[in-house]
Amino acid sequence: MSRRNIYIIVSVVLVLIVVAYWFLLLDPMRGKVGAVDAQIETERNTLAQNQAQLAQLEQTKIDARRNQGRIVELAKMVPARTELPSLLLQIQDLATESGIEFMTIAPGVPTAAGLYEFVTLGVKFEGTFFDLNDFIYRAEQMAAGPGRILAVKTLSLTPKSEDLAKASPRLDVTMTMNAFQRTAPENLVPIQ
Amino acid sequence: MVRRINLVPADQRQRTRTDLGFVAVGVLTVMVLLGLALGYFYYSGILSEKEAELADLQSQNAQLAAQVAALTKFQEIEVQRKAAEELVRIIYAGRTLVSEVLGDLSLVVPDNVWFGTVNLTAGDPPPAPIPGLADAAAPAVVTHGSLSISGNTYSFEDVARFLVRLDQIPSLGLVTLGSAGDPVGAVDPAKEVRGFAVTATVYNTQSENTQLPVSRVEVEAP
Repeated sequence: MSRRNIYIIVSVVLVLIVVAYWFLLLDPMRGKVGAVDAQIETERNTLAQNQAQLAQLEQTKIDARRNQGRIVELAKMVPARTELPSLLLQIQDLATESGIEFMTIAPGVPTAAGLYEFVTLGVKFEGTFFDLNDFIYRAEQMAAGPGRILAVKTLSLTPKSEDLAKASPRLDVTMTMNAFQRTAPENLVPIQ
Repeated sequence: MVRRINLVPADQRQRTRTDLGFVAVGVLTVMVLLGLALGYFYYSGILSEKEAELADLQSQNAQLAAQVAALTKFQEIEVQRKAAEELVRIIYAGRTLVSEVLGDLSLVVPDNVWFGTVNLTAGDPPPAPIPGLADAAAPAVVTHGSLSISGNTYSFEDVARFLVRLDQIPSLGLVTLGSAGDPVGAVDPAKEVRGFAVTATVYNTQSENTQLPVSRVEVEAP
């Protein structure tokens, strides 16, 4: 075999080795490095998000007891059930503090209003205008206690005939008040 | 000096001569193979480093994910608290404060006016839409209340004064005189008495953004 042929064969073999090396070994390896780089970038982003979320959650852990306490407070304002016995006691307390001695209370059935329901309480009593206003004021401020949120819906006042000549006559008061409660999950229906 | 003489016959001299072409080809082959090996080890090293970095990051993420999962229950409590607060706030701010209406009324009623009947109906708080339903994004319907008063006084001037004063109450609007003239109920026949019947619309004067009463929850430091 002539030298020239040997050179040509060696050169061709070398070129073949380089090409095979590039396509079979180096290029796939470079592709793998690129893919790992992309994965690293994704993992770094995830890490940053996880760290931020963790910092936020650490704060919610610190606030957890306060949040639980607040949920209990809010449940006193708008409980999950009617809780009529405690409501009656609270209204009786309000009446006593307002100087109202005798009262009749007639609770209705809950009416849905989306996420909450209201129970109408028919209330009748006698008292002066200022007794009445004091009672309503206390009822409306009871939420700050914290206590049940109450709202006067209707109010009807008629002075007692025998007191007409007095500066502050006694009134026959008929009113309805709404007490609110959270709608039970099974009763959640769209608002009409 | 003796001259050097090559005693190898001329036809055999070529075998002893170094073939530089073959040497060059051999060196080139070795250099190429060396270059290829270096390139392979270089990229192999980079790949190993990056894979180690990736494994480290994945391990850190797995640890953080476990910590996040353990703390998620506290976030759920916060979500519950916010939802409950928003619901209670809708009701609290949506109430018409009747005590304010009556308080203002007591301040504006002239001395020479007395009421026969007072009927008041307050508007309802807006309903709290259920999240995720079609009507959840719809604006809340605000309802207004109404007030009707019938009573007596001594002259039309007094009735007019009473109407003007009622107009000053922030929670009342559309004050309308239904009638004025005949006395309402039993009155002293010796006195000239004018009866009246007035109606008005009752508004909720609380802002939509009214905040709930300040929380009384106190938490001791752990």
